[in-house]
Amino acid sequence: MYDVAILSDLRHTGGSAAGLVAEVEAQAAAGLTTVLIHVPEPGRAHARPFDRRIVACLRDGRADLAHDDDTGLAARVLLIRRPEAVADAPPVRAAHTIVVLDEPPADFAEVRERIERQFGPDVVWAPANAGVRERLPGAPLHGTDWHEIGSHIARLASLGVLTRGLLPAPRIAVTRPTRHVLLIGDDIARFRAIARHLPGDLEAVVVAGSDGLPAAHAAGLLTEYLPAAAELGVADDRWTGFVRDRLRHLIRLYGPRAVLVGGVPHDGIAAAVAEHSGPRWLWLRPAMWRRGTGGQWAARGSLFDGILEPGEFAAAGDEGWTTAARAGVTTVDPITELPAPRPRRPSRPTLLCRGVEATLPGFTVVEAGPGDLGVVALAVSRAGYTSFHELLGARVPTVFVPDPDGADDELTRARFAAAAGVAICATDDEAAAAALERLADPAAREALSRRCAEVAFGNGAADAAAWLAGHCQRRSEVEAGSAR
Amino acid sequence: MLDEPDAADLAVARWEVATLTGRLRCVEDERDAAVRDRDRNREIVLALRRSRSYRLGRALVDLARDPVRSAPAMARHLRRSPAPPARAQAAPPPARIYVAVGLSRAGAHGLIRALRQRVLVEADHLPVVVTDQPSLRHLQVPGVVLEYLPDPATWSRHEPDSDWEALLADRVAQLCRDHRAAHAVVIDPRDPPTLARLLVTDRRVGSLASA
Repeated sequence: MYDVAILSDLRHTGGSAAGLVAEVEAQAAAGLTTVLIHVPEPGRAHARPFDRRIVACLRDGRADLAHDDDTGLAARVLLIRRPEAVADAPPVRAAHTIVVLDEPPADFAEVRERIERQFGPDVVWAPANAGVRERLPGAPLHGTDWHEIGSHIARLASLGVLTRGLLPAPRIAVTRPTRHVLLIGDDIARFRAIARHLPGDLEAVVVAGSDGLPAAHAAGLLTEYLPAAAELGVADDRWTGFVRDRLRHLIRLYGPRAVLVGGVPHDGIAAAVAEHSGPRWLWLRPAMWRRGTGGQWAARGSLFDGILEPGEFAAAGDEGWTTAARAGVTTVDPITELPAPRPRRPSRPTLLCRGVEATLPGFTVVEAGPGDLGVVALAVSRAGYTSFHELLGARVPTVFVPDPDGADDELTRARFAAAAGVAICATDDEAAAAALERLADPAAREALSRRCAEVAFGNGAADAAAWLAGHCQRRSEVEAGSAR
Repeated sequence: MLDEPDAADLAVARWEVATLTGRLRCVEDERDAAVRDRDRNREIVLALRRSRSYRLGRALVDLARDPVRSAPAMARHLRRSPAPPARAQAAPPPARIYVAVGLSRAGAHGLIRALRQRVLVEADHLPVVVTDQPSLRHLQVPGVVLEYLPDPATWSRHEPDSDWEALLADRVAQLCRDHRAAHAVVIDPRDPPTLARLLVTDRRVGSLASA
């Protein structure tokens, strides 16, 4: 039995496909199984292919595709999208059947009669938003709009489909990639974003510490573990040798074309670079260092065949050492996991807290990943790289409370955002509470969101993946050249 | 994951063979390294014997053996009190690898806590637990080292052409080297040992599959 079955015409592109893919990805990340049921809508060209994002979900194993002659499909929840398209759907046994109305059908009574004939009278009709509800007066709709129930996983949880945490490994690529890249470090959000855009024959293997490993595994990436010195209970000098030996083992096991090092290239990494000239060694070098810190790593740049610096919205305020060490460095837009497009449709007062505890009267505290930020009304967050760029990129009105002990210069980031008019910077709890109260006013939130849209930035994940794949290709060419 | 008893028995048996293979591979590597060390030392000794300084030193020893000319100096040397023996540093306890794959998170947690208790009872080894649970942070306890190995299902999805048991053997060999482990043990996921059984097993070989 699948956790979720989604029934729709999978050839539709645009917003409906994006929404469907986002839900599939959220389910896969939560360890839930999904089956997609394709029901061709009458009148559409039969040969038209599925939306390419849906193809990617099927290719990567994030969802199965039901056989059109399947008679034994069972799922805990059946979601029907675009019910007007459903003419002859295969039988599906489901504990809950929900019809999500992204648009009001032209003839609701006819659609309802047909759907209930196929799936029984207990079907729940959920309008996507208030606009759809208003256009269906008198229809027996569920009391809450679909997009108001919080994140997609929260909606499923409310139906009794609880996530399995990290226990079941998500299903991933069914085709065997022929080449590997090792991604070393705990920059999991950036690794996931890049890995998603790698060519199909290039598989990422994340080598993470205990902080990052669960998230990488939950995203369906093949993962390996690199224990920290403290976790082993050894001194730094012995850990250096441990890291070198572990990377030797992993390089022998996977034969990677390239090794991308996130964070700092410490002595263990340097020892491994010196020992292995086969793969191309690349550095995903963070920017935005606090002034006067990190300069000791500058010389390590010469170890690498390439350096990529993820973009920073606050780059103009960056005072770190990397600003004077950009020769030969590739830069891309900020790397995030935000979906594209990024519709913004907050329909109820929700408050997202990331790294900061806060409440606001009238607002419900929620959790949201990058795919769910469009429905978040207001956020208060630390100004770490991922949260900062995700929240601004998704145009969420945000109060940034920089962490003075953060790994990078969060204070400058938050101040820059405030100066640009895209967010509010608060350096203590009192200021954060006052800022949140100001943003309880919808007009104040709308002003910040609008300003975010005016200075919107792109997503560098695809460019970063292309850069990485290019280095793998370059290594192949070097090998071919030496063979000749 | 192991519903069929026969299949489960077979799987655990394969894991035990792979673990034994890995341990043996490490022992072979250690033997090869010891042979290399011995040969290198032998070459150093031979080179030393051929050197001018060695021949000079040897002549001085022969000279010292002349009782007439060397007796006063030898007597002075013998009257000196012997130097106190250097205090031997306490060697860290040897590591032991526990291959704990296929356990639920609660099962893995219980095992690790039992191992923690076991080394509290007697700190005679350092447990290194190889788990396929990715949430390592929740499993960490002091005195037990955690290592991670992709589970068989994940591995076969990503690497369908490669046996998971081959990965296990390779990893056990590596972990024995990394942690200087002298033993490797497979935990039956259907029946992970309690503290009591861990203590009994030390005296009765065979309850755990010891490699």
